[in-house]
Amino acid sequence: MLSYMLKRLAYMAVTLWVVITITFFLMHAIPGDPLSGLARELPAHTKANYYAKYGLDKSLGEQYFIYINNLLHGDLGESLKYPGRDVKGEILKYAPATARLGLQAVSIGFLLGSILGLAAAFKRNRWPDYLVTGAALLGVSVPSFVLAALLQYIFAVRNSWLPATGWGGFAFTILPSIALSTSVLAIFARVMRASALDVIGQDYIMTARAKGSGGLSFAFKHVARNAVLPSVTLLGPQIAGIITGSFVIENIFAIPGIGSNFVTSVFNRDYTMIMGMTVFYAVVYMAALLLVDIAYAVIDPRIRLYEPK
Amino acid sequence: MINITSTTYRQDAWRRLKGNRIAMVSLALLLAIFAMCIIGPFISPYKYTAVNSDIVNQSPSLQHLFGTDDLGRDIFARIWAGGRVSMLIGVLGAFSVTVLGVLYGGISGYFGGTADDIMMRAVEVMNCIPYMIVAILIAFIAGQGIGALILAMTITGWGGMARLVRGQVLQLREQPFVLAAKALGASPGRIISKHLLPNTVGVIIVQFTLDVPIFIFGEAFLSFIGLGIQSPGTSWGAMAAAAQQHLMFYPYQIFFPALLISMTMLAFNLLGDGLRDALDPTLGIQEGI
Amino acid sequence: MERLLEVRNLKVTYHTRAGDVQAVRGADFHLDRGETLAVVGESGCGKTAVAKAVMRLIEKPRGEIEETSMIFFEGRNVLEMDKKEIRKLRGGEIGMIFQDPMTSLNPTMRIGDQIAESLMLHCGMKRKPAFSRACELLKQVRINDWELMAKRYPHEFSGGMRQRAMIAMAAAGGPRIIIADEPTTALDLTIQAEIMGLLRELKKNTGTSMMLITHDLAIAAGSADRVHIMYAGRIVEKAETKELFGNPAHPYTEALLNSAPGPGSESKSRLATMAGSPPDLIGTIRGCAFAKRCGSCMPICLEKNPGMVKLGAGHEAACWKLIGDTAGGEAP
Repeated sequence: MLSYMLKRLAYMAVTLWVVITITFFLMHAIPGDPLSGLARELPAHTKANYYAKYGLDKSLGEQYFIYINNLLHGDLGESLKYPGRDVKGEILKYAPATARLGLQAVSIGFLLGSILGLAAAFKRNRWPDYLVTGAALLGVSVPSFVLAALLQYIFAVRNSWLPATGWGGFAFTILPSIALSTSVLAIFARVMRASALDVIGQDYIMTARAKGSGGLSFAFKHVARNAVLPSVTLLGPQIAGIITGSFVIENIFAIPGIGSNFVTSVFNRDYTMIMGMTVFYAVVYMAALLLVDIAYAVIDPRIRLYEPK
Repeated sequence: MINITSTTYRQDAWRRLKGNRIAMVSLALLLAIFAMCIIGPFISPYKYTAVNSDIVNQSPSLQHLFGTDDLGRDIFARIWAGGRVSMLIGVLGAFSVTVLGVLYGGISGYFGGTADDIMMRAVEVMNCIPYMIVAILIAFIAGQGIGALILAMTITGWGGMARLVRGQVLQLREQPFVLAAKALGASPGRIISKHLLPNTVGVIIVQFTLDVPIFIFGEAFLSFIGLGIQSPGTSWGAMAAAAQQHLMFYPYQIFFPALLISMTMLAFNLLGDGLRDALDPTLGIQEGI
Repeated sequence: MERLLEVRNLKVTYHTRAGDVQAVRGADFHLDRGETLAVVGESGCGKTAVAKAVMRLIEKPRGEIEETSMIFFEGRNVLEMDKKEIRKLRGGEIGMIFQDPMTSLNPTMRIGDQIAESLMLHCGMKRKPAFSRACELLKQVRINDWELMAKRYPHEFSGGMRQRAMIAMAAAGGPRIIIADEPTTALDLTIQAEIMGLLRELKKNTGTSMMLITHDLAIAAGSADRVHIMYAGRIVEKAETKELFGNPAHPYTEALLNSAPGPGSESKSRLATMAGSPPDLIGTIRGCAFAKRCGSCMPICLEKNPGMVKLGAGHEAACWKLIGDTAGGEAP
């Protein structure tokens, strides 16, 4: 188990390095003057000073190595758009909102989606099944931002049941979480349903029934435990989906998270912010993947003993 | 012995698909939308770029079936003009991803061994990169035309198809019928064309159909952030993005593009599901006696 | 002799895409305390359906047991039991061992837990004592290191060990009947003998009756008190084991016995086979189902299905040529 973990961590480090490198060079390929975001007409030598300060006068290769070096020391640099603002500090400031939104969305999507899918499988071809399947189809087909706009309209504009934008107490998190989690919920419901139906057709389910197993304990011990495996594999990509979805949802609901700031940073050519956030996202995503893989090994005893290729 | 008239795989699949009413309705709907996108801008009395400050933000009426936007442009005409772009991106994008994925996955799966290992590792690393970030950056660099958008989404999205095709090829390679063909002296080319490919085509078609809505969604998403099609061109996503600001006052402006996006995505998904059912000959479980 | 199981006119239909398959077309049999009944037939003859029907494991929409069928366990009507009763019956009063131990065990549950589940459901035990008892049961089925193995998962067991665990699981609830559906088909020959030995031992120690479903005549010969031969959904011959092997009455039984390679057959001569193949079970079959393959086929065989003809001492067979052949033979 330990050697597996070490291998994975090494793998992650390499991948992270690749991500950083690609993003770095991609970013510097964006046409335009990074300092134009400062929106100030600067005299030539002041500009030169700024360039020197941010190391923009050096060659691309040099800049790259300097960046990596700083990174290894935990320094993510200063924002180009707002000098004086520490990138790391900014990220940490906005992270909680995004984290909260993301976790809520993943939980709803995965847990509720799986339960609904399981229920649909047990009541196959009866109305609960049609309801869940139909809702899932809509969830997959209606883009999250459309849903967000719709939710805003119904719950905040036409009626004042919930706040339309902003961030604060629990009430502020309801609409964004729903908008963000809907497509995820739909996907897990469908996958769980298909998987559960597959499991129900297996021989060991017949054995369980022949033992007199039934009811909820049957549903969980025998069906759910085996049916949840494909869903767990999907968790990784779905988390990625939630990360990207958060860009737009945070924008629409004016949530002070990393997502809404990322887009602004891209527009502002704020190199250091972009890099910092990308690194952050990549790390979070890969950590999630690792956790998912571990979870999978925990749930499925068949792969505990054998190391995946 | 059970008497069944023998049919080819293709006929069988088509027959099954025809029997699936939902899939057929979806197909009809898609053809209708497709047709409208082509003829829509022609049959409308207004040009989709025609600006008219006298009639801004009008609700749907007999003269303007879908109303007008904040620049007085007829939304009906714009919907179908934008539809051309969205559908084009969806189909072309899915197509390019398919081609790339089939090539990459086919090669990787057929040769196996270390080549396969390396190639798949590369795909895995790619998957670790939050795809939207790269897509956004590429869209930024390459400009914001249709081509750039397709490029951005393709580069980050072909991993799924590659993995799928590779998995299929790997599985099929070991099947007895392939070994039998080899034992009968079939050349690799013949094996690939007559045995491996036909059996993967089904899966590829299904994945293609399910990829189109992902691309339509992707375009809409990028438009929403402001990285999509710029004026005077338009797409459903761009229209939705622009309308989002006026949601409170003119909800109909976002309604129509949102409706079209959702309907199209839904129809493609249903069609894809139907195709999957139709092309999978292993359905129809026989009960053990 | 206490009658444990009485089944009359059992009819089972499976609804498939190709049509309604009538897997069992009217079977009558019974099982008394302490005896082993073997139901023998080739693949597709309906014997597995019979086994599942006894515990009402055949449910819509895939299949159904026809209303006019009668299944009585210890005098109680199985087909009219409610959910609670039938779950008590399954595992607690009738246990079942399945054919393929590779796929018949839950891959994500420890073996000990799977056995313990039965104990918790039927013997009212709590988790910890049930688990200990499960370890003991594993010991009884001759699994070495029973304490350790109970904590392992099915994929860590060999085929033979899995089947032993299945036996332990089936017996755990203390059932009066154990139905073994092709218990050794998926196993190597040497393991087969061990498993059959284990089943016989189990029967001896607990007095459990057994219903053995198999296509292998040798298995039936070695363990059964009575044998029923099934063909195309019907029971065509019933007899005590020795009588059946010594005096087969039905042409199908004769053909089966002939086609089994025995110690006496020459290694160079061809194995006897039966011409043709079993009939399609979708739709009705006119006349005797075996008629087209039967060497003694008569015109009436193609028209009417023969009923069971009593041949004395518990020996019956359904064949037209037996009528008028033996003294005391009756046409129904």
